Parts: sequence; structure tokens; C-alpha cells
Amino acid sequence: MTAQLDTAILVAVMAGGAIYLCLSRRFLRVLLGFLLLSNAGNLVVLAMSGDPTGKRSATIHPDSDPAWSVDPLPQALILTAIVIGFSVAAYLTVLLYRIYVDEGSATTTGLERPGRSDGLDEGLTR
Amino acid sequence: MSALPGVPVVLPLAAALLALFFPRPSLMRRVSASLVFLALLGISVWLLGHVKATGPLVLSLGGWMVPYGIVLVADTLAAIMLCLSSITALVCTLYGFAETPARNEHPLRLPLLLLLVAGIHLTFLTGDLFTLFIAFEIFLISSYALLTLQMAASRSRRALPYVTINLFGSTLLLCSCAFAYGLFGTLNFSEIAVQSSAMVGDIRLDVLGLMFLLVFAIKAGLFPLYYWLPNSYPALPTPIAAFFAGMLTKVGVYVLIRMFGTVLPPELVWLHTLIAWVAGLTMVIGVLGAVAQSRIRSILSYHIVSQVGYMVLAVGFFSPAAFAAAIFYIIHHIIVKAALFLVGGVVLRIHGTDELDTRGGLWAAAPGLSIVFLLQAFSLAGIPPFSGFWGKFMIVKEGLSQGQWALVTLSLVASVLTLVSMLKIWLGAFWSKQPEGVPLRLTPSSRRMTAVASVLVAASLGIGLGANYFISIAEHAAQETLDRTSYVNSVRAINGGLERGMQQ
Repeated sequence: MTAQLDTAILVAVMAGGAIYLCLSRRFLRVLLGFLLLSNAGNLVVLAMSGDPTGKRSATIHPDSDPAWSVDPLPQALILTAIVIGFSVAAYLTVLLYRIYVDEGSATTTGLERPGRSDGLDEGLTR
Repeated sequence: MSALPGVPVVLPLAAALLALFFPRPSLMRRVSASLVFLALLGISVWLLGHVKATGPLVLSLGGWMVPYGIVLVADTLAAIMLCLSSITALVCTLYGFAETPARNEHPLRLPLLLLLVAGIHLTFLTGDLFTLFIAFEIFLISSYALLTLQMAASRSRRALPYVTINLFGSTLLLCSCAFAYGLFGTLNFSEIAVQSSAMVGDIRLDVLGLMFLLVFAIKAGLFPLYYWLPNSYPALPTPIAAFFAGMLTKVGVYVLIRMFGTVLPPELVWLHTLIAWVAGLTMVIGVLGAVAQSRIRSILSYHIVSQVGYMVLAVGFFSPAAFAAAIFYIIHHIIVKAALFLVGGVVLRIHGTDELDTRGGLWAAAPGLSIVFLLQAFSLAGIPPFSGFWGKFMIVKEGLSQGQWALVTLSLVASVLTLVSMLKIWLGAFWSKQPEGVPLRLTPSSRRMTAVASVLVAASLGIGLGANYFISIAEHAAQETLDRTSYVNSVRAINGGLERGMQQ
């Protein structure tokens, strides 16, 4: 585990950058921030395979020694997490585009114009 | 028989996929969907009776041995939650049918609702951490889609806080899963329970507990992570809003009970104290938000925040009696909250707005609706003999017996303020005079909607008057949840059955 300091630093830099981007007012940066954040999360999962130095991928073979192969479970988890992260990123892209089309603004400041309807009354739904 | 815990997940999932093959909204489709929810309710009630009598049912998916495979565990608490989610889904769907003619219904609404229910049921039944993450994603993605499905242009921005905070929460949950795997070498709840008991005092266990608290506090809408909730819920179509209001935050509360009751060791006392104080602040801040609002749905949304505080406060007190109070409060709250949102939807339909300052006159025009609202408002505020009273009474009693004077005082203050804000709705929408020249749109459809909402009112009255029975179920569920040894044993017991199966 100790040899994974590089992974830890990488995750910290990615997550820090992601949160910086997410807190931005521009939609595009928010989107990129969440993409980066989900990848940082995936890296954390991958790191739980243990230190990969000198180890081979886990294979089902009578000769393969479990002591010399990485833990395969986190790789199964990360595949699932990537698929989920991808679908959610697709949704977020569409949502941000939809808000841009509806509001005519691609920043969060543009959403706070005073004196506009909050759209909660019946009749505005359709 | 042994595959029974899988049914509440597989049935709505299959129905959702099937509904996609028949995209045209029709009477046939509506009847089938209602029957699916009715079947789910039947199965859940039967499951509850069975599990309460004979102990948890465990299903190993794919027949793997316990620490390696995925297990579904149906214990009493899970079965209670399944019943509540099925009945809420059934009533909200029926309300949707009464509200919208079939030709106006969005073709994706029913499949997405079924998918949402499948995800929620998987959350209740899952016996391992990663499946919990997947279940959360299934129902979150369905809820994102439902949130924006028929959203008008003027409110699409309201979906953004809900989606972003949940994306953040999901990533955090994924990281917590990874840390749990790194720490325990397993993701199975029962194995984590065994391993974590041996690790008490290790700072890493405390950090993991704190991460779980953060994740599920986001999902449950606890202070200071609640702001997404009152922002997004009022923008939803009524039946969807009622289901969200009833179930989604309570899924977070359920997982808090499961994680801190069953999975993590009871020695994490400082975390329980933290939970109790966060909950105390949530109650008061939520209800203060409600008092400041002037729209029915906004007031009700802030009440969710405040009420979740009560349940989580009981979790923070951390004793069998407190857990029983939390579980009873969940039973009461899901039904009442969904009913109130449905009533709010009828008011919105009749007035065309749910702004309280400009409209009124419903007491004279629609006495049935007014009585339905009044009964639920009393129940929410905790006036005897309605169901809310028993929940609050149990929590306050447990708080006093533990000497938590400050928190009990906070909960009583929140209770009074709840009554004040319910009175505000009552005076604004029902009691005050309707201004001249503004017609009330009383239609057969609004009467049907009232009738559907009154089904939930009947259920809530039943809970209040038959409180003895429901409290005994909640006490049983609480004891089972806190009995970690028997949870582990009942999960491990399936290994014996699997070995016998292999030898034959």
C-alpha cells in the first residue's frame, strides 16, 4: 500500500481540480468538473487492488499463483462505475444544454435575474 | 420460495422494460401498471408477515458463497419499507391517472416510475455495499429523468442543484465503497459487521463512518446539505412529487439506520452524537424555512427536511426504543407526506396556483378536500390521536430518558412551528374568502384526485388508531436491525444450503 503514494497524489490533484471546476459559474466547466470527479473516484476504486508493482493480471489458470496477481474485484467494480459515470455524464450534458436553451445563458449567474416567474403555477407546465 | 426476496426488484424491472415495448399510453397499460404495483404491495405485505414470523430471508444471486457473491436480505425493516414504497407508488400512479387523461400522459413516465421503484427496492434488499451504490444509481438516474421529463422551460434550472449534489454524493459513495473494500477486504454487510467489530478504536473506521454519514446526509437532506430539496420538489408534477416526497429522502434515512445499526459497530458513539445534533438543527432550520414560504408545495418541501430531522434524531439516540421510534416515524411520515403533496396538487389544480396569499375559499367549495387536508395536517403536526403524535411521543420519551433536554426542546419547538405553518396553509387556501371574479375549477377530475388522496388518509388514520400494532412491528424491526450477530448468522446460514446443493 505504501508504494501507492503517487496514486493518492494524482487522485488528490484530480479531485481538487474537479471541485474547483464544479464551483465555477460556467456550465462547461461544471460539466468538465464532474467528468474529472468521477474519474478521480474510479481511480480510488482501482487503487484498492493493491500495489500493482511486479504483479500480473488475475487469470484463471492452474499455474497462476494468487500471490503474484492483482485483486480482480476492484476492476469489476470500476467497470460498473465507469458505465454509470458515463451515463450520468450524458444526462448532465443534456440537462445543461437544455437549461442553456431554456434560459439563454450558459452561466449560473444568468439564472438569477430578478422579477422573473419561478414557473410553479399550473398552466406553465404544458 | 427462497427466490422471493428477488421478486420486488425483478417484477418492476421487467414491467418497466415491457412498458417500453408498448410506448402508447393506453387504458390497458395503465391497468397493467396498477396491477404490478398492487402485486408488489401484496408480495411485500406477505413478505413482512413471513419475515416477522420466521426471520430474515436471504437470497444468494448466482449461488455464490456468502463473502464472494451478491446477497439480497429481506428482514423486517426491509419488508416494512417495501410495503410503504409499494403503497405510495400505487396511490401516486392512480392519482396520476385521475389527474391526466391517457392521451396527455408522457409515454416514459410509467416505465421510469417502475424503474425508480425497482432501484428503491434493491436499496432496501441489498446485502452488500456495492449493490447499494448500484441501486442508488438506478433510482437516481430514473429520478433525474422523471424530474426533467415534462418540465416547462421556466423551471428546468431547478433540476440543476438536485442533479449536481447527487452526482457529488454518488462519487463520494463510490469512494466510500472503495475505502470499505480496502479496509475490510469485503463489501458484504454481514462480513463488514464482523470485521468492523474487531477494528473498534481504529481511526480509519471512524473516518469511514463519517464518510457514510456525509453521503447519506446528502441523500436524506440533512442540515446543512438540504438546500437542493425545497428547490427541486415543487417543480415536479404532483404524483411524481408526492412519490419523491414520500420515498426518496426516506431511502437515505433507511440506509442510515442500516449502516449505523447493523453494519457499523455500536461503539461509534461520537458519530451518533453528531447525527443527533445535525438532526436537531435540521428539524428547526427546516421548519423555519417552511414558515417563511408562501406556496403550499414549498412549505411541504421544507417540512420534509424538518421531519427527516425527527427520524434521524431517533437514529442518533441509538437505542432499541429510539430505533423503533424512527421506524414508526418513517411508516407514519411516508404516508402522510405523500397524501399532503397529493392534496397540494388538487389545490393547485382547482386554483391554478398554490400561492397562499392570493386565493382561498376551499372550505366552502370543497369540504371533502378540506377535511382530508386537515386530518393530515394534524397528523404531521403531531396532535393525538393521529399517527404523527405517536411517532413524536416515542422520540421525545426516549430523548427524555436519555437526558437529552436540549434536543427534546428543539424537537418540541419544531413541532409547534410545524403546526403554525400548517395553519398558514389552512388559513390561506381553505379558510379565507376566495377573491371576486376568480373562478374555482372544480371538475370531476379534481374530485377523483381527492378520492385517491383519501386512500392514503385512511391508511394514515389506520396507523394512528392501530398504533399499538404498528409500534410492535417497528419494535420488532428495531431489535432485528440492532441484533448484528443474528443478522450475520442468518446471512451465513445460506452457505450450508449452497454446500448441500453442490453435493447433490
